[in-house]
Amino acid sequence: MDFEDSPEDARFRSEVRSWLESNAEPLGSSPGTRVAPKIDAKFVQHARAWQQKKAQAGFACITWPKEYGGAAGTPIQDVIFKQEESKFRTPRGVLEIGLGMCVPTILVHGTPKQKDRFVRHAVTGQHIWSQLFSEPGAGSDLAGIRTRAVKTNEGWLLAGQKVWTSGAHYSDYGLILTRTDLEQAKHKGLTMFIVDMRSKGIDIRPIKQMTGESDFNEVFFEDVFVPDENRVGDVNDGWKIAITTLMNERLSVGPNLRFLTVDDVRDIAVASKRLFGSNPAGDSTIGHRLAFWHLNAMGLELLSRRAQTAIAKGGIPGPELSVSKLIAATQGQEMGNFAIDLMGMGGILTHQELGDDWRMVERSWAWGAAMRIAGGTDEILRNIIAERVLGLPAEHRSDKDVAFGALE
Amino acid sequence: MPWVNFDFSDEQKILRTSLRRALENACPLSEVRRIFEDETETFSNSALLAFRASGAGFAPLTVDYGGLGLGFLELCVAAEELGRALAPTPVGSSLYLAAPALQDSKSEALKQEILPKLATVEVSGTLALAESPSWRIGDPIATQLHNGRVYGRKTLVPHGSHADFAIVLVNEENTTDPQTGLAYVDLKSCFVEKRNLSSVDPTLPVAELVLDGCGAEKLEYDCSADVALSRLLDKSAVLYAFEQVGGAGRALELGRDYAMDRRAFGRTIGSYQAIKHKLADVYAMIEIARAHAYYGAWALTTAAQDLPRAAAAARLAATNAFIAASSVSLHVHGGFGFTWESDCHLFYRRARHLASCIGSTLDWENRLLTALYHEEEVN
Repeated sequence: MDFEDSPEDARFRSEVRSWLESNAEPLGSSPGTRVAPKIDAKFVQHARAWQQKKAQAGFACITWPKEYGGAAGTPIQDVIFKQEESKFRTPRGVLEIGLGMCVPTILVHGTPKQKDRFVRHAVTGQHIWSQLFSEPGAGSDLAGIRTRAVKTNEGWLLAGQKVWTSGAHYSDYGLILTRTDLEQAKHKGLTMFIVDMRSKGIDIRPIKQMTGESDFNEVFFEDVFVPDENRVGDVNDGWKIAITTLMNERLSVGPNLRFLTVDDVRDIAVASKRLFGSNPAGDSTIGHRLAFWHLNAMGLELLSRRAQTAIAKGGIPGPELSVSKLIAATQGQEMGNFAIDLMGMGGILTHQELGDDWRMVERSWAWGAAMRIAGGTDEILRNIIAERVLGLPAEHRSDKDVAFGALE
Repeated sequence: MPWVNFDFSDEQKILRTSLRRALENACPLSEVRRIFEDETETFSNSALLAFRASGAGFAPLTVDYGGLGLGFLELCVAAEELGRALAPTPVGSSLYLAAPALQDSKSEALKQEILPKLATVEVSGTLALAESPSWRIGDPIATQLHNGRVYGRKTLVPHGSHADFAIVLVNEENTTDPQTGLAYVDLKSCFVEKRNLSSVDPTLPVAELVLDGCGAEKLEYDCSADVALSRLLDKSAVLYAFEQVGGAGRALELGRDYAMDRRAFGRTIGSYQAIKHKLADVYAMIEIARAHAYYGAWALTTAAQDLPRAAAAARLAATNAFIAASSVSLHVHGGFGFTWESDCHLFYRRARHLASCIGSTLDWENRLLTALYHEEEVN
């Protein structure tokens, strides 16, 4: 067991650090500066440019093969780069879905031609990707999707509706899960495709969230043509492909949630005169919560390192990573609520009254709720832990082994 | 804190596997129950022999004293296995408490004489701190060290009724400025009035000791006794955390196994989300605790500056995990879980004992917060 960098890794870290110092701005220490700015066209452009810069310096998609624009580096180098990059203000939230979920899926299941055509462009930020899985009638029960793909002589025609599609309006390509066979059972008649998001017949409409922002879309497909060469994996084998994407989602989402930190809450307790002095020891009301949250926050940080150790040793991090988002999202929501409580009566006000730093409190409070749903609800994550880690039986279901077309 | 090889070595994993197997034979839950129900037995000899055979006690001991000088990782691995087995042994009092107190001291002759025998627990030791049930670290000490003799009453002493020696927290008489100190007391060479106390987990017995003029040797450290005691508690916190993680993991397995076996409303109860989600939450807590314990083990072995924070975090996370695991496991067993016959209460009791034994979560939360924020306050 060793928690220090090896000499080579230490060299890599300092190389990364000095490159970041000369190419990016450090993150401010106040919570407000850590809230990501609104994603508009200019921000998307900025994200593409930053990705290209990383690619040119050999810091983009570090573990991916060189032939596709990666750096063929070690998983530990990838972790080191991400650790260091997180200390800088870099444009986040635009390319992660492609680089963290869609393209890794193509690297595993795609044809050589698909890899040639798509991977490199994603690495350099030229292509932005969307993930088109959820539907109005299929969230946690994802295999219940109804968007149809029908074979024609030239390829496939897609018809249906997707929902909760992050960044659909600025994406170039999408990974879409469709139903190709109604005679098969729910999980068995699905097929995965790559779709050009600018194809004829696609209609993208923003969803206005409870926060007033619009980060997600509804995407409607009306006989959208997809050539057969854009099919990922075999016909009716889409569920297996989707599982790869979802595993990658859990790998990339949990550790990346940016909510209030334990130190932020302590600072708010001091600023709101609920805590005198800076050490909460002895104040059991505040101290107990901070101690508990520290255990989780630091514990998740350590857990992600354990997962990375497994990767470095050639293993695959398994469903145990479901723990990460399960704890982080709930804790974000709880800390948001407690920070608001620290304000007393004034807790009903927004950042427009309370100042820019309050945006992080609002973010934790609102997005804590969202992230307990997105990317696998708390309940689905607990099912995964219970069934795949602990080996408990699945809950009874009535739709198994019944042709999808015959279901109510 | 940079990056990481966050795992035990292959040799350490072999130690784990072989000790687990040995304890499965030497200390099944029926053996734990035997010690629990038989008032004349204070520890499981077969469990102690299995631990001794593993050699893990020699790992942290430096070569000067016949040890291996490997650091604490092997003992941590062994602690997790002892915890899994609920092994009723004096390993904790001897090796998590007494051994670090001695090893860190400058009392050479004593170390040469005692440490090699302590590593095998042929000689067993303990640590005597509390003077009343509500005593806490930092409270005043009435026990006096005077002219090489110790006078006072100590309580909550782990394995106090049969330990060969105790490291005793004393108040050193000094006409102007009374100072706390740690003293070595040979409990076999003088008359000590001992009373076994009634406690929630009789498999780890505790006693009250009345020391009336027993010969004592003050232990010298390169720091004050308060600092030495604090360092010692950090070490024991990490080692106990491994016992707690081990016990929690086993309790979860028992709950899981029962949930897969028991049927209600026509189905296995483990298929219901109401049951499986409870078990999933416990799994999450154990993984968090294990991560903290592993990091604590590393901090212990490398004497990292972060040890006070890491140790407090390991203790708290592991305490929470074991309490939760033993509670949920009992609950999943339903009414049977509340019977004397079921093994659930052995875990429920052990979790409670370990959660209190070197200070409760209230004490350790303050230690954690102080490690996190005190320095900032001073600056």
